[in-house]
Amino acid sequence: MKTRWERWVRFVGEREPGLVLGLFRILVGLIALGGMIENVAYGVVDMIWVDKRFGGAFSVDGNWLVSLLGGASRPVVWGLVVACMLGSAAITVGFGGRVAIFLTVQAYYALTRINGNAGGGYDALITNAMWLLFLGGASATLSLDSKIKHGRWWKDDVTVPAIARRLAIFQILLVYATTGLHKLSPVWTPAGGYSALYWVYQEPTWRRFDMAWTAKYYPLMQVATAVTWHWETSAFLMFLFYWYRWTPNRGGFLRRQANRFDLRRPFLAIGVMLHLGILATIAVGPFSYISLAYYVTFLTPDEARTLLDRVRTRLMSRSRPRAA
Amino acid sequence: MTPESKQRIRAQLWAAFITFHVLAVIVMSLPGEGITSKAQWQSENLRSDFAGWANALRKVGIAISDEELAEKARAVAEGYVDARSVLSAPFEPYQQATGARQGWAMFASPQRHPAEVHVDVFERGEWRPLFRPRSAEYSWFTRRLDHHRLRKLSGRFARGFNRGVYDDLARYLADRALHDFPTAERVRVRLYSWDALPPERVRAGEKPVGEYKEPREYTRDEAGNAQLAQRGSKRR
Repeated sequence: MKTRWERWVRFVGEREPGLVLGLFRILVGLIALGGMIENVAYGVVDMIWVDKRFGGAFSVDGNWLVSLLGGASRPVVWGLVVACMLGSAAITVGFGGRVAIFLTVQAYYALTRINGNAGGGYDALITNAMWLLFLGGASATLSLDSKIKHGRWWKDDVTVPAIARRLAIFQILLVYATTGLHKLSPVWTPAGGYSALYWVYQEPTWRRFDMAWTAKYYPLMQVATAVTWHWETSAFLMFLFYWYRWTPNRGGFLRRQANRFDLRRPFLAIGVMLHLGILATIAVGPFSYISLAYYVTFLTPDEARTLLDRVRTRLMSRSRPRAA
Repeated sequence: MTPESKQRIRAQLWAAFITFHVLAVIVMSLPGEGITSKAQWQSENLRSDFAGWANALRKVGIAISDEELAEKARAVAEGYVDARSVLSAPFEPYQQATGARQGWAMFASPQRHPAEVHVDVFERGEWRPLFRPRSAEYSWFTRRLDHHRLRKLSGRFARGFNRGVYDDLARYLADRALHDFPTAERVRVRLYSWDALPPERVRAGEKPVGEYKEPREYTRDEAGNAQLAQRGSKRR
């Protein structure tokens, strides 16, 4: 037991270059900022978050922070909106370290919990991501903080707690696995003919345009439903995959296979296709963007570095003048 | 205390905190008390789900009615929710303080009995449509009502009707409509509900036909604001 705990202490204490966490931070900041700008541009801020006593549509309350500020009045709500926008911008450029991230997560959570009926899983994915960025001190590199402290935007040898990136992987896998388990309706299973996605597209709430045409391609909808549900529940296998990857010397057939074949690739490829499908057909806010942002954390810092180097080389070779 | 022992203690505390975080995330991601909500259990959607499962069980030789299955499942769900609330209590404050909120019941039971909000005004002796979702013709207030946060909110009326939220929305829309259309005498907000059709009926060219529920009618009060004139909760 003691040895196991010591191994756990060592594991959660590991550090790694902050490149991936920095990239994740930039994406999360941009998505939160974009979402907030969209709320303002569509004119929904007053309607959904301001209490009806102060001119909003609904009778709403809020968490401890909103209560402390005196309730969901216009100045409080707009104060939180502005704090979210400034905070998200600070997260994007990596300014203000953990303090900026902590304040932003508090403002974002307080604002989006004012009206629980007008929010979705994307809000929770954003605040979860921000909390992990806080734990990891994600502004250490690829940031304005780095430029101020070291004179460089990106410093290779700056390390951050590796557990922040690992917890992001854990979080998104848990989202997929538990959303798969929540799907207890027979329509997601063979008992209901794998008809779920067909029904999703008949519902007006989310679809972007009339999807009655999906009736013509019903077998395709069934295949897509089966792939979606089995892919989500298979997220549990990814936990096993990572466990085998981190304990390669323990032996066993499955472990050997897991270390030979990179299960991340098919899993993430299906995930990307699924989220692109969601983006194209249904309006669920920034859900797909924030989910895909988590995918960056599946890269190790070495892999991210190699990928960036490859992109840089390709870009430089394109910009070089061609020989006559 | 030596710097090494300080560092050791810090590492132990960090590991304990991360353990707590992982446990919190796992426990809070388990389905919550929403699964025993009265409105959900009364919804047509959930009744369809139980009919589907009961049918599947009958096919494999287990004789059970839709109602029996729903009753048994509800008893299990209530017991489970009691246990979950004990388990999750230590983690609630952490979730509140950090924003690490969980709960991922996304499209768990696709809506087969959808509903949408319709708004009409009474002008020059007749009703005329003002808002129909995704309509280019009746697009008053569509920018807001088409926003994903409001889609989410109004989509819930079919899932588990919340009278308070619906009344708030209806009054707000009526207020805005009376303001935007000074010649309008009355505003009507209704929930249009229908049964989505299975693929073979859509392929045969059939269109879903619905009915109006929960009508709310507003006139102007002396200050020009919307005043509830008529409320109905029966199907019409």
